[in-house]
Order: sequence, then structure tokens, then C-alpha cells
Amino acid sequence: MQNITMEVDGHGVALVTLDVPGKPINVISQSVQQDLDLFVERLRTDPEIRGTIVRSGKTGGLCAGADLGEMLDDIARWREAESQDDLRAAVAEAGGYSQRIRAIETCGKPVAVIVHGQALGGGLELALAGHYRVAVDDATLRLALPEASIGLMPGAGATQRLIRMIGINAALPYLLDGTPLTLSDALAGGVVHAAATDGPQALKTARQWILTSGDPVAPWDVKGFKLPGGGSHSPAAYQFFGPAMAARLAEADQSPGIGNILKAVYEGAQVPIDAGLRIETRYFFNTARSPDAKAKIDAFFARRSTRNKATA
Amino acid sequence: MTNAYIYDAVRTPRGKGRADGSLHEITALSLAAQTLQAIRDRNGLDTVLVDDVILGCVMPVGEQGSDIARIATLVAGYDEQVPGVQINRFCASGLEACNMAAAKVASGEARFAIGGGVESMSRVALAADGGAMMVDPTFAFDHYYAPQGIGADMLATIYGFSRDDVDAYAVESQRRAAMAWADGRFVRSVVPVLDQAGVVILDHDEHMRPQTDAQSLGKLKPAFAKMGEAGYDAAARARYPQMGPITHVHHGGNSSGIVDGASAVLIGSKDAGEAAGLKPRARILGTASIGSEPTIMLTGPEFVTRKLLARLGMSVSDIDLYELNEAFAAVVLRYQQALEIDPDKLNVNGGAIAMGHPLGATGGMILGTALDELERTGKESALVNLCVGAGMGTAMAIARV
Repeated sequence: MQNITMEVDGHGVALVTLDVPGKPINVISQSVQQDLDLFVERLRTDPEIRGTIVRSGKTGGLCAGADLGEMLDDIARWREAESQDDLRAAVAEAGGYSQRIRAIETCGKPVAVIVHGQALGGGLELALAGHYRVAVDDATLRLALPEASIGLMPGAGATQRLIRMIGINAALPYLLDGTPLTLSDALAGGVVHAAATDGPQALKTARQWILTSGDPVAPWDVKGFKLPGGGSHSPAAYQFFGPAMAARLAEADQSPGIGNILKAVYEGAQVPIDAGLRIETRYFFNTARSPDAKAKIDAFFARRSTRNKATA
Repeated sequence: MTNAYIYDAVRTPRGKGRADGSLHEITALSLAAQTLQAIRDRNGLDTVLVDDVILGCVMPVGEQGSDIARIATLVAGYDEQVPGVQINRFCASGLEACNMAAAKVASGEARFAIGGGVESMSRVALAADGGAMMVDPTFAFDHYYAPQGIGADMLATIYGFSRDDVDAYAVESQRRAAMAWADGRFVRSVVPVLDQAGVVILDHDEHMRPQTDAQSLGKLKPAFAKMGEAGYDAAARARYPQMGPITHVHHGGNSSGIVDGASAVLIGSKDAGEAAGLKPRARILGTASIGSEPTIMLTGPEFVTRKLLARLGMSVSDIDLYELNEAFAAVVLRYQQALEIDPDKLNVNGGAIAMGHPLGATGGMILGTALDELERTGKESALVNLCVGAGMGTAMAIARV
């Protein structure tokens, strides 16, 4: 594994460090995804491993999300798909990272994630796949899903897991507007389970969780799970979800992701998590392929390259 | 195609649609069954001749679920061969049921068919049936959904009806309804509702407030301003960028009342009537439904009226009497404005603002009201129609025989 190191201690706790070589901050590339496959396989099959702690080796944070360069190529390829076979293959590819995250969640062993610094987009979604999250409480902590602002939408489970953690209405600003999650809100909603003052303390907390409680089953995988705050047709949905979506119609510079995020939330809330994740992937795919998204993404990259040149 | 005739029309009085309303302790099933019994008994009808019973019901869940039309038909003691079907075209369901009954007669499928509807709004709440329209983003977001009250205020904003205009219309609706009741104009259609012991529990429309004046209405706060602020004004303005800010003018006093009630209209062919010894009261000239822009939602009546009149080769002035459900005052004012209808020919005996709008039942009720008024005045023709959720309109034109 190029991007991941793994050490197992005497208690069977595997300490996994994500450190993508040659990058100032971790991003999710194809190579990282391949490593995640190997990591999950080892986790599942190695009887010596009791549980795992995932953390980042970068000072800047856990992970800044997708490798945008790679993703642009992917999207260009997905846009070409027309036949049923090509569409099926492209959708499977678009859902690859989401499925890997789901494999971590269902590996059968407790997974704790240490979040420090930036956990953005697919990086936050990686953290959400763990069963227990410890955040390092300092000024650099930033938990956010900025996908909609660049014309995309979260595609690796955030629309499904966040609504199952804090409810549809509470999740909307994070999903639609990219509003950062404050640590206190994250703690209150169970998006983060514990705060630590620094890395070593976070490690201690995570290790203790694995060795004491360490439940390897996500709440939404327990029979009888109910969405907090009610489902898509609850009185609360009629009272808040309807007006919340109406209000966003007014935004002049509409992201193509907005409608598709709403659809993934509405439809995903009515089905089991695996179906919800498949639905999210399809809307993520539609969003990425839409001409509006292309315009938005192109504009984002134009801005970014101008800025990089200016600072170079 | 055979002509379809109206042989009779009955309705219950309308009870306040609240826990303290007189009909709250009467089931929707009983309301529907009582109108079916009344239309059978007063016509001495052999029910085996009825080839279908079509009842509108807009909240077909809970006690109004599982095809209340068939169940009410059995409870009313109709022959077990008589089938029943519950339909939903939102607020026009009762009239759509009559349109379908007429079509079944016209096609030869039915000798007699009964149309009408039932809604106990005090027992099965508005929106109890849920639905994709309000919360599924594939419709609500992509198609700019806004609730009806917002649509009504949009109509007022776009077509220039002030708060005073809509309140004045409401006062006139109350005045006309009170006058019509005092003059006995509803006597022929209204059948009192009996309680479980067979005692009359309600024999008049109890939602009316004849003492209403512009001053008392002026004190009411706009009902849909808060809903607008919550996000729906934004949706409406995104759909109608030229509109400007919405003026919220509608409230409980100039919108249709929430009530309980049922209606039944006996429709049949000439042959069936002759064989049964019944005399037709009106001939159905034609029926129509249409869709229009769904965000403003309430412009259907103008378009369905134009569609039906064009098909009949008639003009607006050829119709003697118009009946348009008073969902909201601005709906009627816009209709009158768009088609240039003389106010003295429109809703002459008041409407749902004064008497209430028991969703699924209303279409059958106002069809009966128009029929009674034609007979009372000796006029020839009437056009009955309603605005309908999601931008539709449904109409029927009749002529006295």
C-alpha cells in the first residue's frame, strides 16, 4: 500500500495512517481507493486485528476530499456513456468510493476515526463511515461538504449518513449550503463522538473505545432503526423540508447539485441504507454529467488556476 | 353516443369541519350512504339499474380509504351488483365523478350512474393522504411547487386584486348565501343528516357568518404570509420573476371554509329514465378538464371554461348561469375578469366562502345548486366548474329540458 501504513499493537488494535505521498494534504485518488480495498480486506480477514483506528499522517488534516484532477477525467468519461452497458459501468465507477466506504462500515470490526484539521467532502465522508469519531479540538478543525458550491454533490454517503445521524432538516444546511459543522453541533448530533485536545489524546480516546465498547455496527444497520426527526412524509418533513427546498429555488446562481441532493435525501430516507447509497450514487452521477455542472466545475478550476498562478 | 341527463341531485348540509362541528360525530361512510339512500328513495329507484357509483374523495385514507364508494353503496342498501369507485381530482372530485358518470351513460356502459362525493374534513384532516406534490423534490423542486394559498395570493398580486377587493367579494358571498337560505333556494337539494338513532343532527349549512362585513374581515391577518416567508414566496418568485413581492390578501374569511358533507347526482340515459318512470331535470351539454401552470395553480377555471365552450360552439354570453367554486376570493375575481362575466350571473347564491368546501363532495353540491337555480329562475343553461390542485380545472355545462 502506497498511501496507507498499518501497525497492529499487542491488543490487536490496528493503527492505520493515511499519508498520500507527494501531496500537501490527503486526497482520495484511485491509488488511495485501491489501498482502501487492501486495508478492508486485511481488517476483515486478519484474526489478530480486533479493531482499527484511522488517522492522517498530514499536519493539515484528515483529507481534503476527492482528487479533483482525476475526478475531472472521470466525469469527462462518464459524460460519454450512452448505451445501457456503458451507463451501468460508469455508474458503478461513480459509486466505487461510496461502496468502499460502506465496506469499511460493514467490515465487522470497530472502526474509530481521528479527525483533525480539514475533513472536507469525501474526506468527511470517510470519517462518517467509521463507527466512532474523535475530533482534535483546535482552530484548524473544519468539517464541511463543499461539493454543491462547485456544482457537484456529496457522492460517498454523506446525504444518507448525515440524515440518519441528525435528521433531514438539520442535515440540509450542511449538504446544500456547505455550512461547516461546528464541533459543538457535531458532538450534540453524534456526528463526532468525542473531542480531544491533541493527537495523542485522540489516539488514547479512540483506543479506549475499541477496547471497551467498540460496537462495529452502525445505528442504521440495527433492525428497527428510525430516522431521527421523522422520514420524508412525516409532519416535520411537510412543515420544514417542503419550505426549505422552496426557499432554495430563489438562489440566483443555482448549483446543479441542489436538486439532486434534495432528491437523494428525500428518496434515500425512505429505504434501507444500501439502497439509499445506490440512489445517492445515481444522483451524484447525474449531477456530474449535467451540462450545468460542467460549466460550474470549469469556472471553479479557472478560478483556482488563476489563484495558483497568482500565488506561485 | 347517447345523451346523458341529470335526474336528480342531493347534498347534505355542510357541518363545520372541526371537533365542535355538528357532523364530527357522523362518519364519512354514513354521510355518503345517507345521500345515496336519499337519491334512491325520493326517486323510487330500483338500484339494480345503477351501473356505477362514482364518489370523489380527496383524502381517501383512514375511514375514507379502501374505496368508500363501494362500501357506502352496500351500506346504503343498494343491490350488491352495484359497483362503486372512489376517484380523486382534488377539489373537483365531486364534479369529475359526475363527468365520469355522464361519460359512462353517454358511451352506453351505464343506464344510470351516480356521481358525487364525500369528505369529512373534521375526521380526516387535510393533507392526511400525503403525496409527492409537496415534498418530492423531483416535482416540488423541479416544478416550483407552492401551496394553494400562495397561488391565491399570487393571483391577487398578478391580476391586481387588493385586500379590499377580496374582502368585498367575501362579504357578498355571505350576503348571497344568507339570502338564498332565507329564500328557500336550497330546499330541493339539501337532505338533513341523521344521527346513529335516526334523529336529525343537521339540516342547514352551519359555517355561514351572515353578519360578516368589511370591517370584521379587515381585522383578520393574512393566512399565508408566514408560509410565504418560510420559503414558498421565493419559489413563486423564482417561477414568476416579473411578479414582484407577493401581497398576501387571503385569510379564513375570504377563502373556502373547512366543512363536512356529501353529495350525490343521479345521471342516466333518456331510455333508462323512461323505463324507470323518471323525468330528466337537465341535459348534460358537455364536460371537460384541463391543466394549466401548476405553481400559481388556480387559473384552470378560465381555461377549462374556454375549452368546453369552444367544443360546444358557444360563447361566454350564451351561458345564463355560472357556478365556480369559491376556493379563494381571487380565484372567482380572476375568472370574472378574464371571461368578462356579469357578476349577477356568477355564484348567485353564494358559495364555499360562506358555506364551505367539503373537498370531494363540493362538485356534486354546486352542480345541484346550479340546477335548482335554473329551475327557480326558468333560465336555460349553466356552466359549473372548479379550480383544482396542481393547476387543473374541471367543468360541466348543462341545459334545462
